[in-house]
Amino acid sequence: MAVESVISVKGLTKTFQGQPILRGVDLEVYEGEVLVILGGSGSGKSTLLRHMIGSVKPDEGSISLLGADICGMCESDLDEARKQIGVLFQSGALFSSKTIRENVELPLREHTQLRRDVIDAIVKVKLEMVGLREHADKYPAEISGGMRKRAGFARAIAMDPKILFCDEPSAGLDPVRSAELDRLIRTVSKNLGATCVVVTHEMDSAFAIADRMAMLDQGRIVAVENRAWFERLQQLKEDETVDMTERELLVRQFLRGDLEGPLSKREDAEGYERDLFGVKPLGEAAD
Amino acid sequence: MGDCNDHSSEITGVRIMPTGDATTFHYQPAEGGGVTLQLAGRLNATSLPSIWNSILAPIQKNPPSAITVDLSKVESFDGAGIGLLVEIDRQVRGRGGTVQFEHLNPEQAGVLNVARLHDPAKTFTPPPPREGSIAQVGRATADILNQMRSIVTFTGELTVVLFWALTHPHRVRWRDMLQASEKTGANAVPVVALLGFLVGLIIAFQCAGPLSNFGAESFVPTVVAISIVSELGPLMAAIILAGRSGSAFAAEIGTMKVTEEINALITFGLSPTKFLVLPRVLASLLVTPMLGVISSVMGVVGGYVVMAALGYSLSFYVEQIQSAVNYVDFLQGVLKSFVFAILVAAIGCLSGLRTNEGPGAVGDSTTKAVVAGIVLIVLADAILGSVFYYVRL
Repeated sequence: MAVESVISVKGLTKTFQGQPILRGVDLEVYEGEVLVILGGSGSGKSTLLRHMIGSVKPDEGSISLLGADICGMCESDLDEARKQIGVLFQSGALFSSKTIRENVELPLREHTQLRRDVIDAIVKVKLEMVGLREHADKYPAEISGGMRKRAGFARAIAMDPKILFCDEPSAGLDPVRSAELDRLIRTVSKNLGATCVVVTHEMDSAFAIADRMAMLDQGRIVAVENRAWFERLQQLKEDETVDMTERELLVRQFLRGDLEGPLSKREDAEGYERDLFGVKPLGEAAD
Repeated sequence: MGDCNDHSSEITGVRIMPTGDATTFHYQPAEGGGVTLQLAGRLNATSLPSIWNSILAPIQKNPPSAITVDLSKVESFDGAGIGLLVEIDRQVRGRGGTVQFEHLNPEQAGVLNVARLHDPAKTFTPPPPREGSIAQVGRATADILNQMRSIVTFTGELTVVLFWALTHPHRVRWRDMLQASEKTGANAVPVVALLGFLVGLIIAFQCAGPLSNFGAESFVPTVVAISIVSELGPLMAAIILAGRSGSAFAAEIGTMKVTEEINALITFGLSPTKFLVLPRVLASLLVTPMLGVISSVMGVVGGYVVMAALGYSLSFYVEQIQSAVNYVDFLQGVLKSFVFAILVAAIGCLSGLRTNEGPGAVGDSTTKAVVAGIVLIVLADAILGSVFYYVRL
């Protein structure tokens, strides 16, 4: 693993409508690695991803992408920076008025001066990679959800991005399709040298692709370690967990999907009582 | 538990259900100062409403220091039954008493466990304070300011992009623009023509009556020409544009927002304003003046139908029209059309871009686009109308 950091997130905080989503996130992503960001629903992982691709501005903190600070950038500089990244959206986010081919060639046509036939060749290569070459002239509505996601993947890597971001790549896919997409991410990282940042909560997929993993919880990073560390935690037996820290117990519960643990205790917290018994003034007739 | 000495303090109620199941309750004093409440039968949404107040009345009137609720004879339970227990608990413990639920049939224990009423650690907490009116006013103000800010930002962006289009005409997406023009313009011709025609007809009809009282029927063409050519023709066309295309822009762009297509565009470094808004605004600018002219011409034709019915000749009508309006009136109408075009297209696209998440969001933006579009058109018409009036003087 190279030591050079391509994304560096420092002290990131973000509050939406009075609700703190990120509370001081520090994260380094190194060149060529696949970093998986884990976290439960509402842990802030998608918000973190949106910050890293520059579509949301942080309240505090800084993000540098390939050495350039993207928080203080104006839109046009940001657009330049974005040409070096590819994003696979959760739903694929293909342009529904364009065919698969047009979707994939769009970034090439807009951002490069390449000749038409060169673009055609590039598009064919990318579509072949995801197994959609025969479907190039179909519209997104005419293909299945899994194919849409693969087409979105082809579009994300059309410009050979230095960094590839994937938001929940396996959400809504059957196990085989999901594994295919995992393999594609691995290929892009190892053969094309792209750095990949993948947000997911699917453990199988996470362990299949990650070099390192980061776990977010309540807007904070609780652990950034290599895959082996997470694998060890997941496989520990119950009786080996006695002297584990709260942080390790929390990660372990998440990895294993256990019902008991620090994550679920929190959900039982107060509030229910107040909701159930305290909403009306007492004198009021119960009718 | 039937044997109790103090009969005067016993309260009993029965509710006979049509099916024959009885839901009953029975209060009696317990040893040590508290009371026991025995509930029996089915505690559910069918049986409880009619008996609810009579069950709770005694403990409201005379709160016990301790209550034991005996559930041994309860046959079945649902959410309403739990509601009753919660209410008893609230009334008693809220006044410092203690509550105990007893002899719960194991079959029904599950229902209670789900509601977690057995938890001994529960404490009674007062309701949270409501958000004060000052905070609400502040929040609403912040929302409005935010909204205004986004309108100002959008206007600025659109202006910049329009100038960019002038200096980089080869980079504008003309294909998208032509597609939008077809939908916005060509497809709207029949309805615009029909409405223009009818409006001309109606105006001619409406003023033919009063004017004939003064023997001034021959002024009908003048009225029709002035009102249609510089005013109603462009206005009707613009209102149709708001209904057909402003809404379509909002829906198209709104759907793209919901499906993350807009986000995808942005991450490609492609500005939605350049990519989506510009072609639509240009299309609208191209077709609206044409629609306005079609509407005006058809309005004048509609006016002639009435005049012909009144026995006037076509040559007289044309002559009158020509003397009533000149090219300045005509240009006034066209100029208004340009303004309407920008307003409708911009507000349509802006509503689309501001679409929230959720199933109803696109519908909301569409409504906003049409309503705001029509309001802005009429407002702009009023302003332009008075400006032209004074400029001409």
